Amino acid sequence: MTERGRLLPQARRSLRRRVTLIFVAAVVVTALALALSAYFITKTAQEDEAIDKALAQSRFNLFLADSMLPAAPETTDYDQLLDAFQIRGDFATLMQAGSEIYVSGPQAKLGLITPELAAKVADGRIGYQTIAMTDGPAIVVGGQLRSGGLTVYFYYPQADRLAELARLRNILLIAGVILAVLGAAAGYWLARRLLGPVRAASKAAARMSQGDLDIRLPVGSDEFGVLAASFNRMAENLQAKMTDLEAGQARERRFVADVTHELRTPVSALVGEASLLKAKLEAHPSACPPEVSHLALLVSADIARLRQLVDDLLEISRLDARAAETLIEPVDLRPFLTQLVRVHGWSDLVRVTTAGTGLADETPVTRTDKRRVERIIVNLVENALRHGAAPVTIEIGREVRAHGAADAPEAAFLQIAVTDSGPGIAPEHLPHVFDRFYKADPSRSSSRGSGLGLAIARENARLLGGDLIVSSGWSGGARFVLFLPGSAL
Amino acid sequence: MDELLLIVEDDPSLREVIRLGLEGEGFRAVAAEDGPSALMAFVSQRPDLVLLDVMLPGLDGFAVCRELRKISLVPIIMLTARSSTEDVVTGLESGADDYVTKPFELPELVARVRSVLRRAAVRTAGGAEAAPAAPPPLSLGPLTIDPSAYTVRRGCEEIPLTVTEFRLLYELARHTGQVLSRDQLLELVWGYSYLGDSRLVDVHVQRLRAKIEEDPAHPFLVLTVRGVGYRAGHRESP
Repeated sequence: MTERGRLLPQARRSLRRRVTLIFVAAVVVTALALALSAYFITKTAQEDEAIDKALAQSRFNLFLADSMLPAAPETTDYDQLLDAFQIRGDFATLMQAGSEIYVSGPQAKLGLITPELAAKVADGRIGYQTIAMTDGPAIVVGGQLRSGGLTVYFYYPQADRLAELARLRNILLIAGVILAVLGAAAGYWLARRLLGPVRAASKAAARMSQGDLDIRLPVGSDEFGVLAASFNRMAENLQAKMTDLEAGQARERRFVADVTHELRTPVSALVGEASLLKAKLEAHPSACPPEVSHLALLVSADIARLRQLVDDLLEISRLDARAAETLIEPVDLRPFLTQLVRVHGWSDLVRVTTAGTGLADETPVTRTDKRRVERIIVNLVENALRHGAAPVTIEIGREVRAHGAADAPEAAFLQIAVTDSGPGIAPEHLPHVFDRFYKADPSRSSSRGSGLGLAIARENARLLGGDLIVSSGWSGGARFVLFLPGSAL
Repeated sequence: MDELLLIVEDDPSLREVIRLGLEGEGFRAVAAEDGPSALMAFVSQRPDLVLLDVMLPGLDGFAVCRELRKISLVPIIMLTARSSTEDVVTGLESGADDYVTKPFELPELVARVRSVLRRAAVRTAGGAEAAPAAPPPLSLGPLTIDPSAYTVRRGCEEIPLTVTEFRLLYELARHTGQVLSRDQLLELVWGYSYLGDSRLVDVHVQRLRAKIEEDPAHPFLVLTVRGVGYRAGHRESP
């Protein structure tokens, strides 16, 4: 399929072909009618003319015979007369005197004369008929001499005239064919010209449906111009709406980013104040009443949450604005994840393993951004410890997800699966776990965490060219699988 | 431990809490709320370290940093917008030794301050105190690196380096011919044991080259080893 073919839905019945066919049919019918009428008018006129000519000639011949023949003609007189007729030469003659028959040639046969003509002639009138002779059709005119006794038939061959007629017919036929071909060409051209704007419009509409809102149609002064102008107006309106919408979204995002940005300094101050307050309380436990100490601890915990929320909002707004940067370097996942678990103090809760994931002695190495991978894994482990239960397993392995081109090198992925030992996630919540601020159980709204952790984890995974998916593990706990481009060495 | 710190921050609450937090850790602190007063305070007080907010009214933190670098090699820690590359790299290129992103926690800030001051400790304490344990001078190409006096000389000309630049050069020279990864350098020079920012290393290497290499675009003292890190050593000079 061509590029254009894929772009444009092809009309099943081509309008252009139909217009061409109709045009050709009209031209052919018109040409045929013209040719037929021309042919028949010519034919009739020629026939009339030929008969008139034959009759006039015959009358003259009969007059000649009357004046040439003596009162009692002899055989030689008849022969002389026949010779006189033959001077003209373009007809054959048959004379019947009593039982004597004189002919100018073998073509002239008495047998060719119909009884009607014979009767008419016997009646003393001049008659004619068309007959078929051996060398083609002919007109035969018969008459009697005024002196009586002699009946003469003149055979006028019509082959030449008919040949001419046939030539005319052929010329008309050829002219008709040429006309039909020209008509088809003209029809095709006309259809193309007429349907060109339709084609352009449908092409433009198809491009627009694929999201190209910049497309415009040339505006002419005919009916298609009106269509094109409407189309262009529609495109402009659509584009304006889209731009508005996008600008609105961008404004909204920027607002969130700005708000969060502005929060950083006061939150820094709050965090510092809380930690100083806590340190003072720990240094002098009896300095203030227990309820005040308790409140101070609550304030300090809430400030920590606020800080987390501001951090997460900052990160997600940067990811949304596509302003997130990556620092790509080679990372050996096994020691990296083991150290990560140790640094975060999770050594007793989280186990890092490469067992059962298709990795033997190979080293899973990937070129990626360590800090972002850390962010993803930390969010997943915190989520597992918060909503699931320890122990949590981190399995590093080769990608095992069904993949059409899994053996192609560019599709090589490593996977890191984080599985907890909790009750798992109910199927109705699975599609929403990556939604921002989604709470599986609204009544447990006080569960710690910003509600952005998993959304951030997935955005980060995608930023790194990978993905993050969730499922319920075989053992019942929730299982998150991070895919990263990379391979085992 | 009674080093004097200059805190430059326009937000009064944050300025106050940083001052309280650092004083609680045994430092002395003075504060300034904008660029010009920071420069004046620096000249009059001669602090051992400057904590510099990036977003200041009028003269911003980068400009203050560049002004300070014209007159001093004092350690500078920037308080930046969260790890966005322009802020971090601009800050480091302006001459900062390290940075802390907002919102931060006091222990994090104190750890950064301590780490930078440790690098500077030998210099501020003077050669005498450090003398017993002082390692011998090293040489790298035309350079003589004296860790006891914190000086680098090319012939008899002294090259002024900040403590961080000096420390970076010293660690590279101490491991001449050996490739040090960015993570190793972050740990040796900045004291990050886990996930430091490798941009710190890259920008400081650039600044170091600008000071010690004859042609910084074609270095032959501090060499990049692609995909791994850096190595001090002689490339055959052209």
